[in-house]
Amino acid sequence: MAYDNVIQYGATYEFGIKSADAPVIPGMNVTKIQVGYAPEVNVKSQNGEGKTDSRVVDKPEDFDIRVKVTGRITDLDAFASTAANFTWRSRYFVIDGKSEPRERGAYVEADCDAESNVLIEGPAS
Amino acid sequence: MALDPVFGEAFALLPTPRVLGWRLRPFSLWHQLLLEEIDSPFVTGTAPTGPDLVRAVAICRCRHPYVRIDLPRGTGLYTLAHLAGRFRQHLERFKAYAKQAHCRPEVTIHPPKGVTGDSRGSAPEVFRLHLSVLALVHDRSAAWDCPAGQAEWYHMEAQRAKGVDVDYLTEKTRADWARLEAEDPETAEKCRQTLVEFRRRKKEGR
Repeated sequence: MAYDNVIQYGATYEFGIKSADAPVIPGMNVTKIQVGYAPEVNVKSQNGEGKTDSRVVDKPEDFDIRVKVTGRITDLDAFASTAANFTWRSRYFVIDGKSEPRERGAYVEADCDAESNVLIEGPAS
Repeated sequence: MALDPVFGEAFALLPTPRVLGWRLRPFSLWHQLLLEEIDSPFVTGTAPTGPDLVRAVAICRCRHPYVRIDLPRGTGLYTLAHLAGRFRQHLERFKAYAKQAHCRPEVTIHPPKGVTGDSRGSAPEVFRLHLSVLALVHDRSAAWDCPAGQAEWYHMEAQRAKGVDVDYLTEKTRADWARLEAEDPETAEKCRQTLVEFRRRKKEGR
């Protein structure tokens, strides 16, 4: 459901077969992505009485995004060795963790964790 | 709540078929062991021939501890009469019989948190299944004669009782997989091949 006035945290997006919206990760057929948003800048300062009197928080559109991507593995070596990053919904994600593949019925499943910071749009040139 | 169809198939056994004129016993762990021992095409996946089918039928007629890889002496003509011109029909019948027996539960086994290091080798899977059933029936022959599909379920629950984190798949997961097979068979085939490769590497300890 699309919300007009609030930001939904911890949403899980599930992708249909051959979904064009799914992130592209070599060796993985992505089935779902769990998303969490958090401000990168979140600073408080206190006055002489120890009370917060100043606060700086990221704009919502600049929040860091952490995702957990889950999918079926189509190539064990491709999943294990490459894919340091991917782009999804115009944000550049850096993969910083991968799970061990596990059997799940008729296929092998795995997860990978990634983070997007608003000012990082790609590898350093 | 409707019963899991795979569970139902494993425990509500249908009458076994006649192949080459011979009535087979329910496909058991003993049959699985003997077929694996002779590298039967029905377990290795290669194309079976007439003699392979005859051997498989002979095996699937016996009970533990008997080993039979040929049909009874003097019945060659009887078998040949059934085989003549109908090899494919008997082959499909045997494959359907063997497939029905492999009604294994679809599960995910979650490894314990914090466990790392190289995976170790293990005893053959058919023996591990046998041990799980043996713990229940305390009779070696009865354990070997346990239908293979039922043994898979007993084994999985025995693992759960020991504390292994076993996750039975939901209807939704199965439905998603069925949709993938229907709408994107190429990706589904890649996933299946990856599973085979994953199991092979696990066996080799990689």
